[in-house]
Amino acid sequence: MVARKLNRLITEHPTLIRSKDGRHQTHHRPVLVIMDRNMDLITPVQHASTYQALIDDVLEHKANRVEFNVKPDANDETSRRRRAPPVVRKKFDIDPDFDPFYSRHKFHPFPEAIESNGVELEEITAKEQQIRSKTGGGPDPTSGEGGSSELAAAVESLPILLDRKKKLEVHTSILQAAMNEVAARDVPQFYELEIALATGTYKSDPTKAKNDVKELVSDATKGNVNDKVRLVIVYALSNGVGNSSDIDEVAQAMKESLETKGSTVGGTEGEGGAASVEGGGTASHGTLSKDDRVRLDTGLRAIEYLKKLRSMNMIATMSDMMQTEVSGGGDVASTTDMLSGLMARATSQATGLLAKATDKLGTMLGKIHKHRATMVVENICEMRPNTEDDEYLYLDPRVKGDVDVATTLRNATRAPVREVIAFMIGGGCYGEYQNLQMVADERRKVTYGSTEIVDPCTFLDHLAKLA
Amino acid sequence: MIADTSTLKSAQLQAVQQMLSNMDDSKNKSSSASNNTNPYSINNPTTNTNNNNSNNSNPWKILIYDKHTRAIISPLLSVSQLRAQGVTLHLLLHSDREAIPDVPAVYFVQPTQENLSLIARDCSKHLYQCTHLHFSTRMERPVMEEFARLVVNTGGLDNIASVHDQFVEFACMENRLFTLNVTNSYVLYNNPGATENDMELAMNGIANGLFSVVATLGSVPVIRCPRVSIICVGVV
Repeated sequence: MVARKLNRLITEHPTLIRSKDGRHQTHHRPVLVIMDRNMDLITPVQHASTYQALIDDVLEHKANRVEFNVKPDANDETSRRRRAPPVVRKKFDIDPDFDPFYSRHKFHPFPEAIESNGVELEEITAKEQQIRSKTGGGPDPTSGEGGSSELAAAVESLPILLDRKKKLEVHTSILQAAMNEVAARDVPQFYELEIALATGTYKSDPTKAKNDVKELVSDATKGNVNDKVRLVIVYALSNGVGNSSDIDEVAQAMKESLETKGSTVGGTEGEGGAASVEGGGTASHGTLSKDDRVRLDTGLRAIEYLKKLRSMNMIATMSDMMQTEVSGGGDVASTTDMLSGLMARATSQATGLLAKATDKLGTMLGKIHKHRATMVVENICEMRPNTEDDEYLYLDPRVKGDVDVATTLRNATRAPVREVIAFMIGGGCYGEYQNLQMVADERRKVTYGSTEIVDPCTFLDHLAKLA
Repeated sequence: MIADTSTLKSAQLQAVQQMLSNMDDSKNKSSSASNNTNPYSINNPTTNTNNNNSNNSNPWKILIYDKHTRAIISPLLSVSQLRAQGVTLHLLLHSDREAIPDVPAVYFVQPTQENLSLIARDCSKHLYQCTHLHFSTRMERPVMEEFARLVVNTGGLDNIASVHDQFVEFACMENRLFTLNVTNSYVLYNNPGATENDMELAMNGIANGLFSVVATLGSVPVIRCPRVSIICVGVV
């Protein structure tokens, strides 16, 4: 309905349709791909591995503002004097386009962002010290007449440098907060298993799939309630399921484990949640807190809804849900390099954050997977035969309204796609946005839009409402 | 990644900046209207008040928005950037606002019944020096007529300096990321209990939002969508 309505709106618009694309060349028209969330329900619930997507997943993140709680360092002078150190709420506005660090690394794997942040911060601190020593120590007697102009230039560059440093430090504390969540909840383990399920690794071994999922959801020390529910949902949507009673079995195992053993990981993130992970352990051990009980009930309803969809055959068989990029040799090599670099740094310096990162995040640097929407958009852009490019309706507002342009005709007139707008009806997410950029290159731009941008836990709530 | 000039966000920013600066001479308004301004825009020079002459010398203005349009503006312009545009004060339409009779106001709101009656009330009270109306999407003819009647009857007509339709029914979070800000959208489109009318409204909303995107980009796209999805294509 949306596509046809839009087609009509454009066709009936008096100037838009007649403007001979003054600003754009006619043969490079944008392609708008409209998709339905139901084609891939895994992506919005699964765990993310890239910087921006993880911020959205584990911290509070809305309209480019990120919020989290920071517990003061226990060794800190001021906090030792007081009895209970107050938790500090931090708020940062981060500009994804203009913040140099963020725009460069938002799509990168989380460990890579941590690594780059450390390196860049070191560089900038060194530069700062260099300038400060110049200005503090007076003009260098050996430099002669050039000294004063050099000094002036150095003084001038200092504020810019300090501004850059400040921005980097903002990301250091965001990375730290995200890292705390990721480590406390063992997010990489969930990520890894979910990817394996989604890419069909367990296709021929449903028993192993079931057991692996069961083991992780029953482990009280791993993940919060929502993490577990999300894993079960990915499992339920994957082709690793033998029959639908397996889903019940896994869900039941999760429920029992949570009810008897609770979760040692405080389920504190999500909407309005105060993110203080490390303290959550003792309080919720053995029993399920009230909030966690609500989360579990919501999660079980969401699973119920997906089982219903599954039984009605409303969801595509997920055999091709995701595709692992095999050919991307260069990328694999670079991520391996990154990992070994990370290891080396961690062992030589043993800075807390990095050491933790290598320990927990190794798997996040793995292979590159293409999500469903990415594959669809790529097939259409590359005009691959026998794919969605043939299947999808082709509406051209310039060629009479409301007609599906015949394949023969469209093939005659098609030029390479330089601009794509991928639009998801029913909720998009940062993971998908990042993943779609794989279709982009120097010559092709990909814009992503959705009816709304939802984080995984909010999407769980949505699913639960339909049960 | 450097912000290039051809992104959706830069195009939208341009439209919004034009909206905020487009106050100088109302008579030139129709000719200087941007690509994104609907040619049906009602630029009614006869309703200009004498106040307009002083507009030229007064760069300051007040911006009035609703929650929806605030979500569009906030990722686009920071408070200091708004100030650079001459916006000294930005207020929600649904808030108690004091009269500032010597400063012109730019209203950037959705054309809802409720919003329109609030605007009419402001105009009749001559809350601001004059009123520039910018609606986030196309205003339906009957709604427009109803509003016109209301404004004439309450004596606020001479306060209205201009009326524009903008096509900015979407929020650009980044250069290449936008959202229509529909809450609970998955539930909305998959709820088996939804009536046909609900669905129709929801689908119209999406189509309008996407039309805004297309209009802002200024070029006619080819539309692709799955055949099987009722939401995307509809029953053939």
